[in-house]
Amino acid sequence: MSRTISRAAWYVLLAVVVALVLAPALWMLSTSIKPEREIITTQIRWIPQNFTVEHFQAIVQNYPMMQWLFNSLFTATAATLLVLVLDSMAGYAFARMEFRGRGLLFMIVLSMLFVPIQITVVPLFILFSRLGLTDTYWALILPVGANVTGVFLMRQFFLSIPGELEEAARVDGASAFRVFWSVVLPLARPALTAVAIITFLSTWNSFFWPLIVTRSDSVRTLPVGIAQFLSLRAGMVQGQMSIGQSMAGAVFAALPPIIIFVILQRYFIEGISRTGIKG
Amino acid sequence: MRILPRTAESGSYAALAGLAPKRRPSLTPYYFILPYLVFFVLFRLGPSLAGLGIAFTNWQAVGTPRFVGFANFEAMARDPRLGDAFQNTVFFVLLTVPTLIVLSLALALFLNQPRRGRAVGRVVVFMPYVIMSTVVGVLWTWILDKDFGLLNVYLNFFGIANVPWLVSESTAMYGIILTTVWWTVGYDMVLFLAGLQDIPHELYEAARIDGARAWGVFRFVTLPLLAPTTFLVLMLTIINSFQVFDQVYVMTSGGPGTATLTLVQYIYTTSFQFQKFGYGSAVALILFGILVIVAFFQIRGYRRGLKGVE
Amino acid sequence: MRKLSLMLLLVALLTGVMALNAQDVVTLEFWGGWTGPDGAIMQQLVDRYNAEHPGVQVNLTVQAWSPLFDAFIAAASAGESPDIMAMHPQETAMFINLGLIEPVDDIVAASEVFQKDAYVSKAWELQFYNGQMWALPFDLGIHGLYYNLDLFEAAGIEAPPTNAEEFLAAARLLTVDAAGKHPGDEGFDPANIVQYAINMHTNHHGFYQWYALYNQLGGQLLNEDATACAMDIDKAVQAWQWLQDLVYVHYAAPQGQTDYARDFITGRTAMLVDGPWQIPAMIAAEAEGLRWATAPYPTIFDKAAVWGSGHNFTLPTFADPTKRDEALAFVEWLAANSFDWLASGQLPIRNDLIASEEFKELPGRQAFVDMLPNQVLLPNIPKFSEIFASNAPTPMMVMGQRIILEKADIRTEVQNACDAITAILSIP
Repeated sequence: MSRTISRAAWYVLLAVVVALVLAPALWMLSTSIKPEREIITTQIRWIPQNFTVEHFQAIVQNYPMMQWLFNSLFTATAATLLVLVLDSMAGYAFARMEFRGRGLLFMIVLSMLFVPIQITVVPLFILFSRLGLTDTYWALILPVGANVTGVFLMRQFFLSIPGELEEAARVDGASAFRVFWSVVLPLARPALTAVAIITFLSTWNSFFWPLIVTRSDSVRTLPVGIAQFLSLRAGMVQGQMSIGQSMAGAVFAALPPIIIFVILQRYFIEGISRTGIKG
Repeated sequence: MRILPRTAESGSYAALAGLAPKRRPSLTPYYFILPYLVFFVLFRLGPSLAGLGIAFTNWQAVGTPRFVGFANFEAMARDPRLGDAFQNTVFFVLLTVPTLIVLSLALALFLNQPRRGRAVGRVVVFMPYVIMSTVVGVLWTWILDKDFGLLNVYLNFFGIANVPWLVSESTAMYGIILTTVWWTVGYDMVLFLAGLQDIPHELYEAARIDGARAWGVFRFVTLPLLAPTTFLVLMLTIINSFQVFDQVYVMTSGGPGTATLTLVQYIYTTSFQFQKFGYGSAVALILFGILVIVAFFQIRGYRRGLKGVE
Repeated sequence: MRKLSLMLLLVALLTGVMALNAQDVVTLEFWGGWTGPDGAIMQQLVDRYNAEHPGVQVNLTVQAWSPLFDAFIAAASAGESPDIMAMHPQETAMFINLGLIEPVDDIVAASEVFQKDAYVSKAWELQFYNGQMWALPFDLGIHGLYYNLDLFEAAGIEAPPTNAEEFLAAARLLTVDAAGKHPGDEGFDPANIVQYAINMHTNHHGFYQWYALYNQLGGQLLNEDATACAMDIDKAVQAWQWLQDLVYVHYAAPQGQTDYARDFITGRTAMLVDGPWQIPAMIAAEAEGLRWATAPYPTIFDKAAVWGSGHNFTLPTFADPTKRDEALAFVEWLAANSFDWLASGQLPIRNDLIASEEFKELPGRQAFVDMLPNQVLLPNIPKFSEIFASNAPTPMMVMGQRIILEKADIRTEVQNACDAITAILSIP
């Protein structure tokens, strides 16, 4: 496949793909740095005539953006670490170990992907209320530990690595935990990166549960916070919402995960071919 | 990264059949799995079972739920909105899933070529996925605006008159689909890319020496070896598409009329907005059943397909 | 060991200090859906109250109304709730029926601020349901007519329209195509209209307007005990016909409009039907050269009627009863200081405020206040959101959007909506 496209065609196609995907996001950026007067005109102007940071200033002054940002960063990071520990162990057991009820248990775990969160939110809230943990970081972090996709992906990964290394280590007398820790996990770094990115993103972007379970700004996350001034149709806001501020909030919330992704993407995709494992 | 099984034998088939290397039973597996299980049971299985169990009650979020048997399910027969939601969801799935699969596979093949700039391409295509749903919704509501939206302005260049997108029953769902494809195609592409890394390069070479053209290589080398990945991507995409919610919630809340009302949007609406949690859960239970059946046939089809290959 | 005990002692001391502090300050959780600029004004009021009352800490939680109610209901499922919950008068029956809010008759009887005579009678009556008072009134908001003074002058119109005849005459002059022609002129091109006379809501405000017009015809929506739809189909059709014709027959309003305020500010429409909450945006747009004024919602049919709503405060059932006095004191303070709230555009309901000189100096309000007696609210019934919710496919939303956006057959849609309403109300 690799040599079927000529060099020129490659660059043209690449440019088209990049432009098409990037356009909406650039439009968001462009709008966030335009004065409101330019935003509401009907002409499409990608480069603002008058560059402004007033929308960013306005949202940072009017809302505790930095506090929400910190809350999001902290809870998403903590939840990701928790998931990495739990899911790598569980995924390993599901893939490489024999125990009673394994198949059934795995099916039960997977089937939870079929239950919409809208149904589980209220029972979950009651649980956290009983635990006295509503409106705390705990309520944002702990439920992520029950995530299903991470277990699924870790299991798929462990299924594909060769058993010889483990066998060798076991013959040397290493315990199961030792084998897992010093032989298996180092091999799993690319899979762990993938699970980390996916978990971080889904926690970072999660809206409905944080909305229900948090109320103070000291705990609230960015998606819930900025929903206050995004011109959401569902919110049916009365009064004029500033599109500029909406887009500034959008850029503000999108930047951290984009930066993290750009840094990690090498491990995420490129890392695949450099792991040197041959399954 | 090998989040996907390298070959069919060691991969999902064995997994689904519950096969694994034989080993003496011990307590060790439970030590590995217990920490996760505690979280799973407390924060996922428990609330899910409780939530689905509400389907047999008339619970309104407050007070003690009263058992009503199958009354909520019987009420479905008299509910035209549920039929709308079901139809719309199926329409969404039928259009979105093939589009996503074909497009993400094409992008993965394209960006898998050892050429300059592919890393940029990969990052860019995946990037929309990192943006939160509320922001995606607001952005696209604006881009799809009938009179001032970016998209219509550019369509006008090509002589296409303003498309009403979100303000017409006949086009609103296409607006939601367009948004969804833009938002999530990168996720599927990354999974395909991961799968592509596991196909040994020698196979391509061999095929080419045999004189196979690009299409032949794709048809007889790439596609069969990519089957486990395709199975996984298809499964996840179908599950996610059946549960489409965020985009609808933010962009149209099911309208105009009932044009974009989907099952999960309806579950949300009946539960939270109408406080008929029992009925909402009953619909969720139906959706659960649909997904179990879809998954069952998908797994069966996949196994048959594997046997055919062997 | 010594280190450990020292640490423990420190921790104990710290918690003790914190507990003492906590005892001194009563915290009140206060939820409201003011997500626009009005949220900032409410936050300023809360900050002022906190500064003036060292013993009380009010925490304002703001989220759009719909998700805010989601959180309110989820909290109630676990027996939690805020100490003060803001809502709209037409929504109270829903929460009363769920047992989420408490009657306030006793509190009001003892209050010096909440006295019937101090309020516009309409605003006071709205707080009652089944003979009991359930909420403390705060403001009202109704539709009015904003108009662009420059565009009116250019069209040679001297006064804003007050009835159907004047309205259609003005609408013709204010609708202009690219060649400068008006509807009805020879060669007028409906596909190239550059200026429309008025906006047309494609969201819930569409059926709000219909409800006002239907009331102008003397129509009634539900039967007396709210168990069935009691629509007069002919009148319902007549009211919708007026709105639909503005778009499809008179070309006076754009089809499929989404941003009404923006279109008015940029001169795309010469008039705007909307609530007083748009006033701050209009004042801000004066810097861009907008010259605007307000007029009462026109009386198209037999008698004056205008859609309205408002904000009130309720005391949730699951709130800590020991904090009720502080909660009431705060709400009384808000009511007494509600002049500052008027910057949000919302209308005052206290007679002294309406009569005050400082209120009369505020731009744009008088036309709204004059219409307050003609305000019609959607029926306050337990199944309110199943019939009227703005962000769900409720009978009213489906009817309105199909008629305005799809040019659907009005009689069919009205009949369908009426049947759906009866079906909803017939389930216990």
